[in-house]
Amino acid sequence: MTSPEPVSPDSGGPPPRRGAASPLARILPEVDDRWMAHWPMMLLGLVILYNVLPGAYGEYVVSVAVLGSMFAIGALGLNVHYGFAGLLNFGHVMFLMVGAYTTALLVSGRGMNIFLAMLIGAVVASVLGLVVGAFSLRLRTDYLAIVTIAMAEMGRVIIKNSGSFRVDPLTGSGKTIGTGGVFGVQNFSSGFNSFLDTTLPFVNSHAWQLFIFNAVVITIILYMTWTLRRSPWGRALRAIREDEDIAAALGKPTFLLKLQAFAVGGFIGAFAGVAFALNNNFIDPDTWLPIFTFRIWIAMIMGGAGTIFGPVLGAMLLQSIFSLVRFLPNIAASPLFGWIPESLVSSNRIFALQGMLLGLLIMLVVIFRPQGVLGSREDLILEGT
Amino acid sequence: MTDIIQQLIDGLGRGSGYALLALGLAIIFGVMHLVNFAHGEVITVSAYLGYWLSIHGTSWWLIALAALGASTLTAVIIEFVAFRRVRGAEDFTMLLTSFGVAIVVRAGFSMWVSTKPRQFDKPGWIFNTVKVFGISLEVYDLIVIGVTAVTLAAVAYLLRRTMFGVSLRAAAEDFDAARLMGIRANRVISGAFALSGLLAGVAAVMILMRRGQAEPGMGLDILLPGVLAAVIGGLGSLSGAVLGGFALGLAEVMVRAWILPEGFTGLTDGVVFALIAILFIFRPEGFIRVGHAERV
Repeated sequence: MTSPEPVSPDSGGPPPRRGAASPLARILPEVDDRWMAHWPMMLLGLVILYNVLPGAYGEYVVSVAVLGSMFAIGALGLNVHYGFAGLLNFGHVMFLMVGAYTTALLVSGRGMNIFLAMLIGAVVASVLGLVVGAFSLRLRTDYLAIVTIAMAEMGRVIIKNSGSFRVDPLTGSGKTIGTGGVFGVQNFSSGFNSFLDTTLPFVNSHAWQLFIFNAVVITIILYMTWTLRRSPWGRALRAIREDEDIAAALGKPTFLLKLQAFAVGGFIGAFAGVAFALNNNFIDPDTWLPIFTFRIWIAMIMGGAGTIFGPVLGAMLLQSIFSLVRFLPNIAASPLFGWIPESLVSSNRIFALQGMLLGLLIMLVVIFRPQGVLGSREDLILEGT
Repeated sequence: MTDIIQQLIDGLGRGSGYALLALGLAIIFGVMHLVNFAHGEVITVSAYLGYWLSIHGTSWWLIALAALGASTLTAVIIEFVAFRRVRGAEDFTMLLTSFGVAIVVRAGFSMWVSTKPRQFDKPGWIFNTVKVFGISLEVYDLIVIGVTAVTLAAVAYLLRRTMFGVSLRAAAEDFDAARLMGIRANRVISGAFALSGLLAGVAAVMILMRRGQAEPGMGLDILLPGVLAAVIGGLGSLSGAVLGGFALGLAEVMVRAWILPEGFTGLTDGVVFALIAILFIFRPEGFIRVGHAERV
């Protein structure tokens, strides 16, 4: 699958070739082509698992896969920010939030077609990316992290406090839906669900329908990021990630490129928010806490930042681990693990237990395997200082 | 006029907490180049200790003392357990580690105590007001401003006049050179964390008196304005951090009082953030430019 890369005057240096001495030659496209094998394998594995496991367990596995696929979309967007361009975006959840709210309000308030609304939501999110990027991308990496996380939190608080506002252009005049405030927005996914029922009449499980939809979205995004990464644009971004000064010296408009990457990642991230909203048929401000961003981060890093398929793999892996935590009460009830205090794993503590696991995973992965499952160590040399 | 003075005092009171947190962050950033998002968890620990002591009927003076001790100790322990392993690593490793610590502490309290907030009694005088020259001021604000002023003066003395302070500043200037001059890396970094923990402890006592509740996720909520204040001030700079804290407090109060119309106060944070964004466009290095911090 490896064809010689076209030499473009735009590519920011010599064409990358394996084994070449140039620092830009580290950036190899071949390893990324494997997503075309990995992704169908994963889908096939899920289908087999569903058919092998007894009924209820099979359904559970699919519901886990639905959650995993939503995080995968988010992680794919973040991958454009961090994996491609090295931008430390710790407020990724704001793109999800904006995408979800825009879509939900347009559908519930204006009765717009869900797919059109989705697209508008993604465009709004990428415009937000441009605006946030315009003032924060000039800052050094860790400052960018601060500004983005603050931005996401403030956006959430604003939506939380804005329940009484009327957003007439969005909802149509006379309706007081606003952004839903603390109470959240509801009733926007019936059109989507009936669409799923008509297009997928042979699939009788709602979880499967949702998963198929997410899988289609993921496939499109995988193809998109794959193409982008091989393009001169993607290579220039990676040059920026490795050393922004060199990229600038080679004549790349680094600020503009980072801004574009920010917008593209936001565009993708919005779809994760929409998928989340459609799955729950309900969104409220407290869904979009910073911990949501960290989950996306750890999914991306676990799979391998900067690779094409890594974010999807990481998200599925993380969700699998999380869903196993759910079975801890059963495990603790068995005689072998009688020493685990029951109160520690009682079902109302599962969330906290998952949080604990997430925190520990973040530290362990970052310290011991920062390149993730699919990444290569060389591709992650990001010496900031 | 009365209105202006009232708002000013209110803003300074608000800014005091931000300034103390921002100063602690700036001290840690100076020695380690770490933006410590686990700094807020120091406050969470103090809050739960305060809750525990207060349900056992301890007086507020003792709670305050215990909170100071607990926060100092927590900061040192966090450094020893987590940050020592990633010292000198890349930005994203250290940042994610600090988030990891924050999440673990938060999850720990939700598992061990509860995910729901725990209330405890505030001191009785907290909402009292005094009249000074016909202006009614909150006792709380005056105490907070006074305590902050004393704390900042003490820190300034510590940094300028003691051996520890000098070595801390030297380490912040150039860590490697400071080590070559015989400054113990572990000691100065532990000291920096202890100092920042103590500052956070002072902030925690003030916040807890007003808030009177402990919940697992409070750390990051309280910390974020402090982080922003540190960035506004120019993260490497200690005086900049303090300045940034007060500026943020004043900006919040002013936006709420004079810029936003009635009923739109929920948008205060948004407007303040827009102001910060404008500041970053024109002066991305913050109030005080620091040569070695290379933020742009």
